[in-house]
Amino acid sequence: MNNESKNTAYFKLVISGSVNSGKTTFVKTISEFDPITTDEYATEENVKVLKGQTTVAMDYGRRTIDEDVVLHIYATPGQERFNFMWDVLVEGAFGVIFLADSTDLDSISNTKKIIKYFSEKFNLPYLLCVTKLDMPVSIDYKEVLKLIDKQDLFAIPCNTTQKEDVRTALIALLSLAIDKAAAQT
Amino acid sequence: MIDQITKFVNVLNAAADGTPHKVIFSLRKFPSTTEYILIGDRLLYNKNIKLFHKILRDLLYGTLDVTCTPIGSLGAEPILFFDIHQFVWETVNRISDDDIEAICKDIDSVTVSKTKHPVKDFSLFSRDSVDSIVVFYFQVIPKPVRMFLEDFETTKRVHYYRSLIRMALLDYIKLEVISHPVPEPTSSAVTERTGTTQSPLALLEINLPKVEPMKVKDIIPPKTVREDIGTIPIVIEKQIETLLQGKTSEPAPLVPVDQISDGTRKKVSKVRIENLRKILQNIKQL
Repeated sequence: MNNESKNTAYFKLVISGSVNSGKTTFVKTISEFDPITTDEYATEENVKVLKGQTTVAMDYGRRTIDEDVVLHIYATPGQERFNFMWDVLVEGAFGVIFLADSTDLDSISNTKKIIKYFSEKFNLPYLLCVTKLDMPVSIDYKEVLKLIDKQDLFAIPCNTTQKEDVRTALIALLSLAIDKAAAQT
Repeated sequence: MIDQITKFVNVLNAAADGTPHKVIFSLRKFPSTTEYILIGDRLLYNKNIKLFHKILRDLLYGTLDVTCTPIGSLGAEPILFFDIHQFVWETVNRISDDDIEAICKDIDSVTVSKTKHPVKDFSLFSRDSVDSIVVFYFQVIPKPVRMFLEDFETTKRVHYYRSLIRMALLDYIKLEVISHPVPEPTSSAVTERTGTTQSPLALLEINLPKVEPMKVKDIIPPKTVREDIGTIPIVIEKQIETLLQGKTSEPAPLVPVDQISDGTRKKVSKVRIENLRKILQNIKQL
């Protein structure tokens, strides 16, 4: 914070997707510090099966580009009952990355709902990252895309623990955002 | 129109081996070209993508030509691309009804037959029920479009034209100008063939249209098709519009909008792009 100037430009990136799809890991991989999380013990039975703790408000990470530009990264909670937070977090974002867990059909279905929710309300560059494709119980990448069934959505496979994959995802989203902004000038 | 479709199909087939090909659309009257890169079924994203629906329309009108040339390796694996089948499907949907009718003005004299793609491979993500009807109708023997249009409501004429065009462009069906009359599969034709030396398969082929009368309501689209079959939801359509035309509402900046005067908005946008590029450069070094 100390090396930020008065004219520092803040850019906001939002990561969204179903519970346990890898959002917190994604933020962790890119953030310059350990992300600030709002994890609480899960209360829903179906979430408990997946993990003990879950994000209830947001995860926050940050990356200082230079003294004039800072990237803020927010991950939304996955549960639909926290969708009021989705609206709050996406305000001012330059793009949204959705994560779909290829090992869990329910998760893919929930991510599909989240994509629908965002695309109906906000006109932003979007990218879908299909995660956990390295797990033995994952379904094929193309099958996930068929289930998501969103023709105009760009998608890539992504292992959120791998910097290279996260980097590729961010380059893709930023390319879309730059093209979109350029079209407006 | 048929020649133009054939040229496009040839381009798709040329790139089908998975090597990168440069697809060049060139105006016939002026030396002006628009280029895309196609690798197998993947059409790479570039800034010209927003023009693709106009280019495809002009190709069908015959004012453009299309060719392709193989290019060397691209270096890095492409990140952003469209499935060409899905993209052409969407693009043909964006051509206006008037244009579709004008392009198809001579289509009554055209015969339709199926191509190398078996029906089971007809896997466009978002095909509608009209596509299913067209596929079911033309899968057995070549038939003139005229016959097909007589069997279905004329109110759907433009939808059928659209479906014929997009499936012909993607090589699911083949359009040819009728050179000689095609025998209609009437009951008398079946009777004549019965008891002759025709193979059982030939009899089956002749009989199929009668066994399964092609009524719209009889054809239930596969379950994998979206619930909102037949139309693209407005929101998705808007998104496609956005993606292809680049028309977006201003993404809300963290700086309050009311602090930015109209006169400086363009300048702010340029700064925003510069900053996004800075982030991109930084991420590339991640």
